[in-house]
Amino acid sequence: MSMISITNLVKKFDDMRALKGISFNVGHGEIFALLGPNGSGKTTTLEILMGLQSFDEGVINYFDQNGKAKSNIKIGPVFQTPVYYENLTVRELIKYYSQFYKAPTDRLSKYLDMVNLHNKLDCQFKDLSGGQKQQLSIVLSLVNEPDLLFFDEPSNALDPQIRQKIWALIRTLKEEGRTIVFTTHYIEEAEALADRVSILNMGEILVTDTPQRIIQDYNENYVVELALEEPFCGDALEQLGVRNAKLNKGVFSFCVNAIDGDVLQTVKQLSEKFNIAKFSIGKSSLEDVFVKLTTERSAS
Amino acid sequence: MNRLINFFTMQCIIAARSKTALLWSFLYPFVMLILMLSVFGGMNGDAVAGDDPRLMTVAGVLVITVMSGGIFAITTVLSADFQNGVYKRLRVTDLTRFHVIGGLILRQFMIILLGAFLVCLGANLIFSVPLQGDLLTILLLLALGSVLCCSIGFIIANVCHRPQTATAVANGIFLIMLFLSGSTFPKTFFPEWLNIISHSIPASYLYDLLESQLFYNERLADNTHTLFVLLAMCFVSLALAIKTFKWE
Repeated sequence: MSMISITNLVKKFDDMRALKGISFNVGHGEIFALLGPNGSGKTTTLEILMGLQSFDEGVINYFDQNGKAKSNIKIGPVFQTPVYYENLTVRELIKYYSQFYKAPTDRLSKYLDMVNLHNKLDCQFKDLSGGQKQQLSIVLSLVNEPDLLFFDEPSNALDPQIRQKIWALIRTLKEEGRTIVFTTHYIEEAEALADRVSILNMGEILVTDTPQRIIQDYNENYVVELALEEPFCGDALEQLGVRNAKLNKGVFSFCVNAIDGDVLQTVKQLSEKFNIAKFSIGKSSLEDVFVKLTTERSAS
Repeated sequence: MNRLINFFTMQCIIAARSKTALLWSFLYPFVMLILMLSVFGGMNGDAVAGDDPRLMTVAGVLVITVMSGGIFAITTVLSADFQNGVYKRLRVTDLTRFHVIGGLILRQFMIILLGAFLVCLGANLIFSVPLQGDLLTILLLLALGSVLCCSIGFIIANVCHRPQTATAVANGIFLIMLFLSGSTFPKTFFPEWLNIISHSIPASYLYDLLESQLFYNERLADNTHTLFVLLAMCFVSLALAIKTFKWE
């Protein structure tokens, strides 16, 4: 059962079409990720859904658990950068933002404990670290017991420990039955959290599905990685019939449909010419699909 | 109503913790009072026998207090908060633009009131200026001035896209009003063409009414035309502030 249904959404900024007729649905209790490079239209989509921006064409509908259209949906927002008054304390922010919704202030204790902010209640917002500010933003998005949470790049520019804490909090919110739509350009974040993902590029949705199915359907299934002991000319790979090889920190990687004789023959030929320091074959990830799809579309 | 009071209370706490807000709201008018009474204290302007001409200066400093607490404070604070995205977050709450505009005008009115009290106290205690005029009428005029100047501040912050532009525009308007409203130089010194311009400036009417209270000790009923123009300007600027309010 869908909670949000978006059909042919178009947004124009002067002559530029930021969203070119995107459509997707988000189910009740689902974590839905909008994945895309910078400028792909993720934040614009999210802000339209939050009611912060208008749109030029298309239809957005919200539904309750019974499939009936609902207009007064309660939402909880988290923006890319935490946006609260710097010289209010955590306690005051909770108090006032709760009062703006006429909600009780003690509702958030559990979440404050989860992110270890209960001992920062009397700290002013400006004195919190970047990670604490973002965690508080997520906690404050829950003051009105929202049906639907919108997180715009919730772990952007945060260290891995804080990111893990934020992911744990998001998983808890899903366990509570909340619906979450978030944007990210961290592929591992989408892969780790989202039930379904839409890959967005230049205002268009390239694919919407579960991360596993996208990997299965849209990519060669294996990634071959090669590290060589001596300086290496990438042309040598092309001469051996391998196209689209990527070099990253001295390791060449390329995708193949299957581990067949051709691949093994290529590796054998390379090993005759160069000393191979490392060789591995692994399942491809969502990142490989993401790079492939967005690169292909940008090139065309 | 509760949300308006909550927003107002929150804004009062924020202002009380802001050194910049305190400087512009209290220290600046007080310094202006000392400077202006020291410089213009002995000038007569259009004084009549029996009146203390320094009361005209006090009326002028009260107008400056209203302008700095209204135009300057609102423009500076609001344009910075717009850019930080604070209001974008507030927009997703149950607050409306009426709560925001109402709460901020109410806060600035309280600050202006406190600033005006300090100005009057300083004039009386330091310079022994004998204060006169109807207290309730002066409070009403300060309230109207707060609405007018805050609304102008809202319009500037709403129309200008960058805080730097907003501050520059606020500065320009503030200085024009400062020199042409009569609050720094008596209007009797102005040539006729400058008097015409002066009569199109909102702060000019506020100054005239405050002067009529403090210096001439007149009744408000004696200045209904000026009061009507000030009320009309308040109404129009408040309507424009509400109309142009854009949250970010």
